[in-house]
Order: sequence, then structure tokens, then C-alpha cells
Amino acid sequence: MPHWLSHKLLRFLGVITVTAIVGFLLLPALVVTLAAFNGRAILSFPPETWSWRWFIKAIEYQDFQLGFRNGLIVTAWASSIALVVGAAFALALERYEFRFKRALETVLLSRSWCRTSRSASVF
Amino acid sequence: MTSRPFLRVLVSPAALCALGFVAALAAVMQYSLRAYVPGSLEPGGFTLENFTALMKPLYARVFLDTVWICFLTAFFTLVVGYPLAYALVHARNVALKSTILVITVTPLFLGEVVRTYSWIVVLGNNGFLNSMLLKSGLIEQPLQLMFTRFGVVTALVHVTLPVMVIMLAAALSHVDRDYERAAASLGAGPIRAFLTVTLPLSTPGIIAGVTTAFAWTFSAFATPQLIGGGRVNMVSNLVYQLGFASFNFPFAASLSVAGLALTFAVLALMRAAARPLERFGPH
Repeated sequence: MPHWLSHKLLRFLGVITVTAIVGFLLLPALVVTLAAFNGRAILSFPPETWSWRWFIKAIEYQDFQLGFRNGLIVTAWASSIALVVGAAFALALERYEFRFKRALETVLLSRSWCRTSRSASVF
Repeated sequence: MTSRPFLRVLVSPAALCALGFVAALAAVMQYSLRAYVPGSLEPGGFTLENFTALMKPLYARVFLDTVWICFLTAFFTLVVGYPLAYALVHARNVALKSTILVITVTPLFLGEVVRTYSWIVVLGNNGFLNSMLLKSGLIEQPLQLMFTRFGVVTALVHVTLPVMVIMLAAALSHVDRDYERAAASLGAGPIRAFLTVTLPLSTPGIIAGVTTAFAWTFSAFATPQLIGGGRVNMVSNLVYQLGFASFNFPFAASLSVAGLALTFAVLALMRAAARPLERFGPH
């Protein structure tokens, strides 16, 4: 095989691979979006009829409204508190030396590693 | 001592949070050593019974299964993530680069339950994949994808991918492309240059990515719960069943502690196994 041809082939294979991976990443979001516009009560692919009815249902649904409102409130509080606490600590971490610096940093970062035990720590 | 204005104000909120985490962990550890009193939420006296009960084959199997699922997930995430990280680092077009980056991190923004629900719509017997395969005539009967290890690992790979790609991309961007060019000028083809130069130089990223993917997957809850549907159980599902269905808090706590210890043990093993590989990394 001539040199330039093998380069072209590799490039082509690379583009196909990356496109397939990107497709895999987007697949669930795309499929669930399609499913949301499905007109029937039973899901089928591709949807036989299309409609907005599920969106109207969701907006009119009391529990959804309540959940949405609660979601906004919790998100606003949680992210604001995390921002203030995290930014302050990051500043101290960067500028100062203080006692228990390493220990504090380890504990605060460890959270993302031990989610299993966290789910149990609600009791 | 140098002046440290506002040190106390800056650190105390974070310290309070850290104290909360430590207290929660200590509570779990304390619970894991208490006896279970059936019908009561209050634990009994101190005992090691919970940990001896862990040795039962039923629970030991879930632990082994969890470790196996984590390995599969970490491995396939690496295989799928590497080409994407490579494309992300080497894309010359800035727009293409940012498109790849944005698509890569989308799974992190979908939220655990929404993402898992989407996978149910994809993998179900009347779901997207089966419908497409049936319509194209490739299969006659719907494939059983839900409630299987395959389904759980697929969904876990999907959510672990962003972390893996970001870690691999960080390592790959530190690999000087001149080495690859040098290999090419000495007569190596693109595949050989990649296998003997770029891939070994990116080992630090591979090690970091695989360890993080492993730890990340070990604590997965919603994905095995909903896609596994009780047939593919991981440690966190067992903790949930015992803690919130049977209200056996002490045993759920000892499972959590054992899970945590197992994660650390496997991570330490992986680090030790990866040590000989580290000399490949850039110096």
C-alpha cells in the first residue's frame, strides 16, 4: 500500500471511530428526546405519531411543579453555599500555610471517592 | 509569622463541612460495630457479628461482582475514551475541539436518574436498540439488554467516559508531538509511532484514568439499581436494601465500611501493579 493511502485510510478509520463514540455519548439524550414527542401512551421506535401532549401534561402536573420549584430552591442554596465555602477555602489553600491544611484538603476531596458510605451516612 | 488576614473566616466554613463529613463517617463506623435489634431502629451493644456475617457466600459474591463490574467498566471506558481523548488533543480546528469537549462532558450534566432512565428507553425490550434491530431484520427476538451486566456496564461506561477522557487528554497534551515526528522521520509508520512512542508516554494518564474510573464506578448506585433491577447487584444496592428496606442499619453500615476498605485495597493494588509502568511516562 502506498504511504499516502495508508495515512488516508487511518484518518478515515479515526474519523469513523470518533463519530461512533460521539454517537454513543449522545444516544441516550437523543433517544429520550425522541420518546418525549411520542404521541401514543406506549413507547415505540420510531414514534408513530408526534405530539407535545406529554410536555403539556408535565407542566400541568402538580407534583412536577412542586418538584421543579423545590429543585430550584435546593440548587440555589446548595450551589451558593458550595461556591462561598469552596472559594474561601481555595483562597486560603493557595495563599496561606496553616495547621491541618493537608488533612482538611484530603477530607474535603475524599467525599467524591466514597459515595457508598455517604449513602449510608444519612442515618 | 507572616500576616494571614481573614484566615479564620476563610477556613472555618470549610472546616465545619469537613467536620460534618468526618462525623458522618465515624457514625457509619460506629454503627457497623453495633448489634442489630430486629424491629427497632436503635442498635444494640457492640459486636463484631456484622463483619463475620459479611463472609457469607451471598454477600461475598456481590463484592466480587462489584469488583468485576468496576474492572469491566474501567477497561471499556479506557478503550472507548482513548480515541476520543486523542481526537480532542490533536484536533486542529478549534470549533471541532470545543464541540468534542462539550459532547464529552454531557453525561455529567444529565443527572444520574435522568441518564439512567434514558438508558432504559434505549435498552428496553421495546426500546430504541431492539426496535431498530428488529426493524432492520438483524434479529427476530428482542435481545435481553435490561437487567443484565452488559446493560449496567454500558450505562456505567457512558457516565465514566467524561472523567477518563479529561484525564487522558491532560496526559496526551503533555506528550510532545516532536517525539512522534522524530519516530516518523526514522521510518516508523503512524501506527508504529503511536504504539512505541505516544501510547507509552501517555501511561500516567492511563493509570490515573483507570484508577479514577474504578473508584467512581464502585460507588455507582442508581445505574445498577434501575438497569440491574435486582438481578445485577453492586455493594451500594445491597447497602440500600439492608438499610432502607430491612432497616438493618448496623449491617448496612458494615457493608459500607467493607466496601470502602475494598476500594482502598484494590486501588492500592492497582497502584502497585502500575508502578513498573510509570517509567514509560515523560520524565
